[in-house]
Amino acid sequence: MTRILLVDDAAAMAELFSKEVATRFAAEVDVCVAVADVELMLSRDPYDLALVDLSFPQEHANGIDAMAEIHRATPATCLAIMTQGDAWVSEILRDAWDLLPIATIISKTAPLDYQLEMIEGVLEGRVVEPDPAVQTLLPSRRNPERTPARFSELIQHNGHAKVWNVLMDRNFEATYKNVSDSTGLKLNTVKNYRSQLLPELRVHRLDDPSLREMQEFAWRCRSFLRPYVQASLEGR
Amino acid sequence: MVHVRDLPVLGNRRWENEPVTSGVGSGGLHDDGSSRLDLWLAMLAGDRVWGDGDEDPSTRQQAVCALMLVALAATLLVQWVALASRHADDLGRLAILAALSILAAAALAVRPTRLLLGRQSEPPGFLFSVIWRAIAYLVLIASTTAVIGSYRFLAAIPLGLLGGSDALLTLWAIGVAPAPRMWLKRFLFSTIHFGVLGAMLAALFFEASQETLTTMLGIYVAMWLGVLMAGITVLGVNRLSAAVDEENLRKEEAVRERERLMRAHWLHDDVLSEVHLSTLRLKSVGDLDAARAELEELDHRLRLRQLDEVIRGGEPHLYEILQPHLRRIQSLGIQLYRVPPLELTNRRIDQETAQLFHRAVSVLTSNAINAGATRLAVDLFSIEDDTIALTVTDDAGGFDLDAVPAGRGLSNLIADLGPRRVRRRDTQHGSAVTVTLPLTARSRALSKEAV
Repeated sequence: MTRILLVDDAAAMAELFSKEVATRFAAEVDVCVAVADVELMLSRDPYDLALVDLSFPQEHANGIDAMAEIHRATPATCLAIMTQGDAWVSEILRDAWDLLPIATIISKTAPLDYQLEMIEGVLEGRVVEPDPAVQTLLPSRRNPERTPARFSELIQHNGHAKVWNVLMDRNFEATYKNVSDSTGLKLNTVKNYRSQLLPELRVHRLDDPSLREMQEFAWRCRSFLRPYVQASLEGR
Repeated sequence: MVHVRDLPVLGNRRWENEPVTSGVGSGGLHDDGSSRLDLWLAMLAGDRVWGDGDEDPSTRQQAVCALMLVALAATLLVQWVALASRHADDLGRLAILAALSILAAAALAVRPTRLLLGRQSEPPGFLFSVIWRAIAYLVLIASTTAVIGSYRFLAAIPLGLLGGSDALLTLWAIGVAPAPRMWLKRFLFSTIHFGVLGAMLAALFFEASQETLTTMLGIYVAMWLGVLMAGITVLGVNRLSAAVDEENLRKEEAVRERERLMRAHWLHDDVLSEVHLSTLRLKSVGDLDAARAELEELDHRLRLRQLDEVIRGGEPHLYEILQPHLRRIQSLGIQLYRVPPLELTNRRIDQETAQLFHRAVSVLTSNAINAGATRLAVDLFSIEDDTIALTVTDDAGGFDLDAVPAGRGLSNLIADLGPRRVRRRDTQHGSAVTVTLPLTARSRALSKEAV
């Protein structure tokens, strides 16, 4: 039996949608309403397809966290995004599109039959173009230079790891003084580290970002950044 | 089979508090000496070194820049007045010092002038900045002291004002809350202060000449006056800035309150009346398909209302305007086989252009839908940043633009934009209508910013 995981914090909607999907594809559909619970779901049999929302405002987490975890645990699971696809999630959508093997992007506001057709295509292994309304938020092609492994270039030494470690916290007020205080690095050192990272950040579509923009990026992509940060801080 | 797991969020155990961060920026200087030196060097390097991104300077930054320029001009003025009243033999040497002072002041004036004009520049290197600014300040202080002779305390006033405003700009840039009272206390117990004080006591002990004692006292008073002026400038301007911020916050809160009321009104009057209208219509529809169509129409109307809010809220991206129309096409079961990618839609436009673009998309897509299109393509072209061309291609057969009845959306659009800006051509199965929209100066500026 086909196994599908639906990760979406809109519980009532997710429940109804999962029933439609289960009926249409005679599938077993598990619904997970919190990113923090994805790990528990993955302890079961692997899923054929994971449909993941991007925005989880109550949880201080995002859909990339969930999809990265699913992909790490079961790389064979097909990943598809289900999103409102508005300006609010546009950056996280681009990051996910570049960094993860996303099979397709389904718009939450598309007609139900259209959504089900897209899921059917993915389950049958066909190439399914993202929903047209969402395509306007996506670049014409994925950035081939941008890969999860490329995040290692953002931590060239332990000092960079210290800076990213504080920037990954979304509640941190990202000023030079605060970063300097929290990392124990000198003000000028923090500035130099930022300058050192600028060429590499361009690969991630960040052109001369401020510390706050770097913080937003670090939060969105922390699933890819964190392993390298931790390895560097632990001296591995 | 469906398993719904509605588990509670487990304290956000892995996502929220992972990075280990200690306290955020406190008020003044660090407690240990090396960090204190770090901050002094940071201030000597100036604010441009710490500027990142391309944000426009704030009004408070510009006000401080104006103060800096006034202080620089006052310093030079004090020098020139002193120079004019001197009759010494070394007038030539003093004039050279004054000329060097002008150069130093001019170099220090570049940054505040640029900020006042709203222009940003590439941040210079830290060391380079520290060195040239240290030299400039040294030249300015030394030459002023030499030129004005025994009235050194006069020079301390503009120089203190200059140093204070310059330091304040940097403190804001690196996110440090200024604490000038603490600085005064630290200066009181600093080696520089005790050094000068010790030298004066030694001069008294060894019965130095009256002139030497007067000179030393002048330096001491000037030093204190300069530090006090800098402290007062930092404290005063920072407090003024905080007061302005507070006032702005109050005004913003008032605007937000009005906005909340307006949205509540909108929710009540517009949204609920739309829902009510649909409810009434649903009562009279006979089948499920008609009910679904009515709900989809309601969805579209609400999206358009939302788009109005987005456009009114500022300078929207093209994709924000396109999306409700694309969703409508989709919900009608029409196949969208091509839409513009992010590279073309990620452009912001001003309200006026946004309204026009919204109208053009609405008219062209409605025209195709009403003609019975089953497949649609939407394309965007940017022509030399002066115009945007929007093309909607359909498979609903051909038509004559000149034969569009008056009063229809398309004929109104042609009447408003002129026939040269609305073109139609035949395609294999239908028509491609292109509308070329002129961009306002603001939209062109937004395009350049994006580049």
